[in-house]
Amino acid sequence: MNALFAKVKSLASNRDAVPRGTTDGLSHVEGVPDELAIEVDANGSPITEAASHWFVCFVPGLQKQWWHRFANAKHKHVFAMRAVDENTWILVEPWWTRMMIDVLTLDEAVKFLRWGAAGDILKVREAIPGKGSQSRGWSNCAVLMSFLLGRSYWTWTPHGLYRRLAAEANVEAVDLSRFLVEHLKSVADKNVDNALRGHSERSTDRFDDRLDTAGVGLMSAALSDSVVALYKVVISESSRFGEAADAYRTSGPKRAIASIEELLVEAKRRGEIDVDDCEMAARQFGEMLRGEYLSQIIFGIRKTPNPLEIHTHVRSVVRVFLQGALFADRHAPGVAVTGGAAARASRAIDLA
Amino acid sequence: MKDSNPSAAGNERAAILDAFASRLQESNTGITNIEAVVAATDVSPQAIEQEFGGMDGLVIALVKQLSASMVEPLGECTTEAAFREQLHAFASGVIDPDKLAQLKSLYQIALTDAIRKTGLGQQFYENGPGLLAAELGQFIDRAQAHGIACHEDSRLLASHFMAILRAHLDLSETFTPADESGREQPKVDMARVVQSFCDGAQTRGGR
Repeated sequence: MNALFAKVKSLASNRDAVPRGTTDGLSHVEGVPDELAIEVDANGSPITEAASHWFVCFVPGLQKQWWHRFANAKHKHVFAMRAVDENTWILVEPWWTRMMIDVLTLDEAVKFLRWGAAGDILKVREAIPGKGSQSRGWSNCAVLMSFLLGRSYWTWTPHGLYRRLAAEANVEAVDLSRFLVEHLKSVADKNVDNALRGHSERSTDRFDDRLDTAGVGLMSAALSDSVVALYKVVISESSRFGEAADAYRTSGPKRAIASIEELLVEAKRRGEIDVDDCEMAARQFGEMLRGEYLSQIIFGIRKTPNPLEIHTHVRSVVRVFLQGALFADRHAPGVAVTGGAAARASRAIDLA
Repeated sequence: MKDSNPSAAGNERAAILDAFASRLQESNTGITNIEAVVAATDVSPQAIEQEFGGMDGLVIALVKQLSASMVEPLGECTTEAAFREQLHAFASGVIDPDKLAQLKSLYQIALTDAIRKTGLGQQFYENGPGLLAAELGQFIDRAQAHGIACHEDSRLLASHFMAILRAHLDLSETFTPADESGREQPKVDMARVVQSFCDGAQTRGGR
């Protein structure tokens, strides 16, 4: 009986090595073109991907089900998700009636991760080619997650899968608060670094040009998909993950404001601007860069502005920040005006 | 059976809105859904359904009421002094502690709904922050027609003013719960806000 069972199992899995390329350039498989046969790797895949790490979430039920009394108190369901990049996650969640596979933004993913944190989250490396088998019978969530990870575990409960995975050598428990602190800080740092890269350091550049360059970099970063997602996470989750929100603020907005403040302090020292509080002025400038765009993007009114829209907006911000909303009234005929200011005023009028 | 007296129906609607406005003002923790606020009041879900068509309708009605009160000071102005005065009054209304607390709570609720894709976000923006910016833009338009304010796009100018206000309130990044001593009271120099916007930062020599 065991021998028969083993034979059935072996029929269900492919253990034949498929070397990349062929010895004679032919596929030898009916229906498979030769070029495709040449391209597959040793595991039979057209591309060779490194094994990914999944966050496997063992969770309590969100709505009461009749069978809950038979399952572990905390681990009644299991699903998995993994990060594709700093702002994109894949979610694989088996329902009773369908397999949900979704691509999520960071702020959406955090909603599921919070659910995971109500139970337990394990960080698990998938096995390629894996030791799962399709001849498993009833495929509930635990079975499907085990198969997704390439595990051969014969368990039909989330808690059973949890115990087996937790016992593996390289599986880590995930502390969601800590993970969010590190992730938000890392993404915020990276975005500000990119934003500040374009700053002109040459002292011969005019102050308004330097503000313009800084403004374009910072506005582009502030309204990028990943930073907007960070902002949404922070606003929505700050009461639950205060440390992560603080990490984001310190690495993101505060650094950005500090870079503008530096420019303003320099300009004040040269007598070009008259502000009491350069830090507050820097915050004003930073907020003006985001303008109404941030709220409009968050609430689905519009998409991220294109480079031309960004440049147009930044020029307006620099003009109004430096000269005020009433500046056109000051340049009356007969009043001497420097070339730069006159040109800007003239351009503003032409645009009206 | 629905009350056939329109005045009584209007009173009930107003009473519900006031009850929720008070609740939102008092809240000092991160509210992210209107259901939690409902649970803390005596208002029944049935009453909300009858008066507002549901929870989303209630949120929109609250933000509409709030926005209407904030834009009241924006009228006609024919002088620069009046322009500055009305901006000052508008800004003072926005940063009123009770209204600000309501606005922050509603913003968090709407943003969380936007993440969950329930459809509330757009309506919230159009009746809330978007409405404030639009009304302010029209106010600036009227001022420009009288030769006040520069020839910059009035919508951009409105955006800049709202941004300056947000910077002073630190609304941009701070949605942390108030500390145990009570709700934070923003200390804003309104004259400074209006001056920053109207006069800019550049010295005469720097122009």
